[in-house]
Amino acid sequence: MFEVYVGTVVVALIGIYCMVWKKNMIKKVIGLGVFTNSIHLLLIAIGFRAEGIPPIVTLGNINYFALRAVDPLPQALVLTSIVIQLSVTALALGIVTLAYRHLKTLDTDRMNKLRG
Amino acid sequence: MDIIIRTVTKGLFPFIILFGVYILFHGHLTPGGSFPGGVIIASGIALLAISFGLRKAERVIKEETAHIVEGLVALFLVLIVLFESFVRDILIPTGSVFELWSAQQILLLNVVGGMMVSMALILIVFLLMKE
Amino acid sequence: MVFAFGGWSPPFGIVWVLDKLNVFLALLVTGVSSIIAVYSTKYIKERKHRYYTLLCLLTIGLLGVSLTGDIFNLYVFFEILSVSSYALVAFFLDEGAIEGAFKYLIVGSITSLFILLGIAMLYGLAGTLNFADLALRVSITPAYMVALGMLVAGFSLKAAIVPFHAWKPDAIEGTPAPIGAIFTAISTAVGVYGILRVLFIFNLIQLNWVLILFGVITMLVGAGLALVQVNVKRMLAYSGISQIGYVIMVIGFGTLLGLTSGLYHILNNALIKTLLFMGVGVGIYLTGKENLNEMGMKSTPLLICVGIGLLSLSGIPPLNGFVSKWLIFMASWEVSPLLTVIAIVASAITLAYSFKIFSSMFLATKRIEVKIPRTLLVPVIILTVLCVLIGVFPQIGLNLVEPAANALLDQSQYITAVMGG
Repeated sequence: MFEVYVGTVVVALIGIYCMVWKKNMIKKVIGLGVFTNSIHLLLIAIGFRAEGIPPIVTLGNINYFALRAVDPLPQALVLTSIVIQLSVTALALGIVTLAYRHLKTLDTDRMNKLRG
Repeated sequence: MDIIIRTVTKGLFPFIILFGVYILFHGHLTPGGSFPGGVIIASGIALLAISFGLRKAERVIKEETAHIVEGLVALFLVLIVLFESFVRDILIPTGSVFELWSAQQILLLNVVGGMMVSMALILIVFLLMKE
Repeated sequence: MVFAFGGWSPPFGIVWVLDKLNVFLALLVTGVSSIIAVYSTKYIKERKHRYYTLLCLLTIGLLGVSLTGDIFNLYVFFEILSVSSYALVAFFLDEGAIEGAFKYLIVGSITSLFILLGIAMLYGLAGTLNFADLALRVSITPAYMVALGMLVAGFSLKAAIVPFHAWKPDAIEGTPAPIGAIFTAISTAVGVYGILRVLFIFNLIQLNWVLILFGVITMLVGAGLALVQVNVKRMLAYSGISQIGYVIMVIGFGTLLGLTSGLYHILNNALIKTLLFMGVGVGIYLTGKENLNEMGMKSTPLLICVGIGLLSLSGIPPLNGFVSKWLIFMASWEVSPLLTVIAIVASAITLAYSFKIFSSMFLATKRIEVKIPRTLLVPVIILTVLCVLIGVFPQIGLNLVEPAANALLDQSQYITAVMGG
């Protein structure tokens, strides 16, 4: 499990780096996606259980079920979070296209109308 | 787009849509459900729009059609919630596990929600591609 | 009052909880947003249907955040609120609005993702998402502290506390004025509520020098930067940041008086900032200018209303700003007299920039005759009356605020109410 956590941190750092230091707007949006997915990875890793069974109660032994069934909640959380990320990304791309229409470039250094 | 992508898209498109519909209808039995199914359907349309251009994709589903379908589906969602007891007692019984026509209103909600997701995504793709 | 969705009992299902603090915040949200909805019917000239869709979405997000009793549900509503805010910032579609929206979107997404990361860590450590259940299970260990840090950092970005404040003036400069009012009045209140709720879960509402330090810095930097602005919306945005500094400072004291005065100041800040944004918005609507040096106008009712708002903002006695500031001074005197002095200095700077707004709007040499539409004037007058009323009879506000502060200090009552004994 330790490797997964380290991997999550590395991916999250790549995402934050991409969002903060890259000058291209599209790259910033991609960084947003990378960062979000690293957190999804963390959530899925939290819900992981070796040799788990699906969390559907059938006519089986309830003790065996409690011992082996995976936790369904992180997966539900990740699904919700993916939907949210989808809407945020769509809105971000819309704003980027509008910004391109105004500025004729994707460089964030040219966005300097608001200062002070 | 080049010929390889066009050919693959031409062959794959119906199956992508079919797979999306399968995911929608089996949401209560297997992993998946409304959102993944809707996304798969919408990604099929998006693939078509990218490889053949917007004109070809609009021949499958027009932008206005997507608007109208989304509204109608939302209305249908409200109807399902209003007639909840009818749906759960008469139309779709609880049934047994791994049977398609079961699980009360969850089946209908999955299908309707998936339609909404796919229409919304198709609209987003169309609007972004028009820029 | 506890409402469980779908009949699932609290630790498993999603619950909405209505304790005294949530009632206070929900009343604030509904009050301010309904007044703004009335005001906007005239202020927004085109694409009204989109504006109102987004406004309703924003209100849903704010209400959901203030009522929910489940931390992931809070995140979902927080995102609804954020997404509609980004779209509203970009509403005018001109260059400044798009730039503000993009900056806000990047910063706001990082915020929400930090909150999500904190929630994921809390879930991994405690195995539950319900506030009351979490409060039973958390303990003070380094791992929990990291999660706490993530959550508090995320919410303080939303509340625009100083190291994280840069997005806010940029975002507000591009928005329509009524939305600026919502941002400074309620969005920050929701951010502060998030901080309070997280500290409440960890039972850490006590003397906290970190919060006091950030509060003092926010107070001074916000007021100082407000003084040098020329754009009126930007100036009010910085003023809002400075007022939140007071709130963060007194929350850091962790006493009953501190919390009461902090919540009271949130209430007053919401009223005054809504009043000022609306009053200034009338000026922007009529003159079409946002620069302070070009906004001179002649209008007696607007002069009275905005004048009362500005006096109240800087804490002149018979008005409501004075009441909460007096409580804040008393609360800080208990902890350290130095803090009282700093708060009074910040208050003096507030008076300075208030006078700058007033003089450039109503005492300028070049003034134009204006006739104010009734739809724009009536909400402003209603808020002015409320300001004076709360100032003259402070008990009205205190009755709302004091139970909320008490509820924050009593964690066990909340847990009993939600978990059922």
